[in-house]
Amino acid sequence: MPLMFDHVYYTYDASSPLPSKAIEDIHFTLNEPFFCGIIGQTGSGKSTLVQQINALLRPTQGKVIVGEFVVDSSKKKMKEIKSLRKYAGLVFQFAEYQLFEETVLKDVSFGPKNFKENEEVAVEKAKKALKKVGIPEEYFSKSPFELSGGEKRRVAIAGLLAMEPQILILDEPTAGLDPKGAQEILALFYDLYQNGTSILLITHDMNVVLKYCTSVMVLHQGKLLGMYSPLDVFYQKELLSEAEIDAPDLICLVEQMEKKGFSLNRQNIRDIESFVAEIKKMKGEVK
Amino acid sequence: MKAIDVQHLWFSYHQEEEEKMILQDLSFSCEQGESIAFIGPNGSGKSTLMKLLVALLEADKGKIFLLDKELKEDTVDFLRQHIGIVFQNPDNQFIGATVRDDIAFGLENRCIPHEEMEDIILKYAKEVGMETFLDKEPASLSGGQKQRVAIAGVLSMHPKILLMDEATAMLDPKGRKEIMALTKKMRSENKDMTILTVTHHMEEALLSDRIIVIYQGKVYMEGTPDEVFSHAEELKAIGLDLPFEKKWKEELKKAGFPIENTMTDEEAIEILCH
Repeated sequence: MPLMFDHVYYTYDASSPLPSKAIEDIHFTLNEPFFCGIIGQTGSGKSTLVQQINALLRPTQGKVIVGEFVVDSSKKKMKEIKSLRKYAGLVFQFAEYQLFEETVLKDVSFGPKNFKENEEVAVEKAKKALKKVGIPEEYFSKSPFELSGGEKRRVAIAGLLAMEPQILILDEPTAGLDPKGAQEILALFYDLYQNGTSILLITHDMNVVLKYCTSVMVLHQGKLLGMYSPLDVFYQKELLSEAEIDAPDLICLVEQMEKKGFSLNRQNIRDIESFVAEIKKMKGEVK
Repeated sequence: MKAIDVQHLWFSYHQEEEEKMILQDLSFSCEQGESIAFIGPNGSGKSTLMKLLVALLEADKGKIFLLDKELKEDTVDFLRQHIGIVFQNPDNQFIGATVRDDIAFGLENRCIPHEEMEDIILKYAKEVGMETFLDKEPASLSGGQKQRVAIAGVLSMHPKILLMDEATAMLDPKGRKEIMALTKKMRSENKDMTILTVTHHMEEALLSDRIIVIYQGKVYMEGTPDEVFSHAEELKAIGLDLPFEKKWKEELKKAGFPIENTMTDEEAIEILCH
């Protein structure tokens, strides 16, 4: 099923003397499952855009089609809002601030219970989700506040996974995590994607976009500059400078090597491993 | 003079439970004017250590000497005048209604006369490149700008020791670059100031004189950035990584190319050309 934005506008404080346009004329279609990155400077409208999807914000104009749900500007309360939020789940930045329950297991099973699952099923789903994010069983009865920053983050993400969303929306999920913790979380999302969950990822880490995303949206001052393949977008210098985005280090390295006369197959280079493989292949051929 | 001398520090948030010791016999020292980066996995005790250094927490065992004085109840007020800290969250440490008020906060606490205060505020706002924002409210500033204001407030107190506890973690790449550039500038202009940085960004750690790796509450490794990052496997084993500029060279070396991770990009590319 597609996720579709049909000319969506959103203005904060629209009826006040100081309205502020956050996103303008956002128009795109993504077919599920997708692993799509959203990039752009702070203030470019990334967070505003994703909040239209689960109706935390309703478009000022235009509409969003999420599976069988439609989010538009009508002021009416949406009857299906709970099902929509189960379908498309959102993890905020620094998600660990949202933990609140007495124990890890209670915190994670809160979501499914809230969506009217009975206790037993909710706990089962919570356990499954905690397992997926790599939280061991001896943690289940601990207070979430006793955990380290990285563990808290994973518990918060498990809270969302327990609701088994079709679309998982993540705002900077790896900020503040150590390199290994970040790596594990991203591998988890990639695994979910390969099993049919769609991922929408807001990030400032271009290396992550290059490595994992199948498509990427570039936002600038509330407008969508376009939807691209990560393997192409980072070589488009003009676009990047318009959006005030720095290319990943790896791309800069590839370009530096190309200037020295190397001809590397750009389409094969997504991370350091594939870069090394490409160099090996090339040097092998020369020999 | 040693700026900081930490001896056999033990700390736990739950004293009754032995296995939950956050810091376990941690010792390190640093000279005045040195800059040190602390790296380590989440939960290794880095932030706890910073809080102990400014006496927001009290150690279970061990001693902390700052500027040759032991940190104790009767010295804490004096020592806090010489140590400043910048925390992670830009919104949690902006207390003034405007940039000017925020920088003034510490000065007011020290009863600096109003006439002098204006000049001091302007001086430190300039220092961090925020002099044109003096009347702005925090809501209109970016995260990086708020952190710069926090740094200006701390600098106006003339600290001999400055702690940056993941001050860039919540910033976008532009904000992080701003703070990294400012840290560099502070180091070159205040040669006597000791700067301790806690970070998960290995690129930031590269900028310091020395890196101390903390793991499970102990010093796991220490040395210059080149020394520490020559132990790629040991770092990987505890969940850390090399900064990009070293990592790709390390990986090529592993693949059999005659490359070292201490080479410059140009040197390494040159070797690949042949």
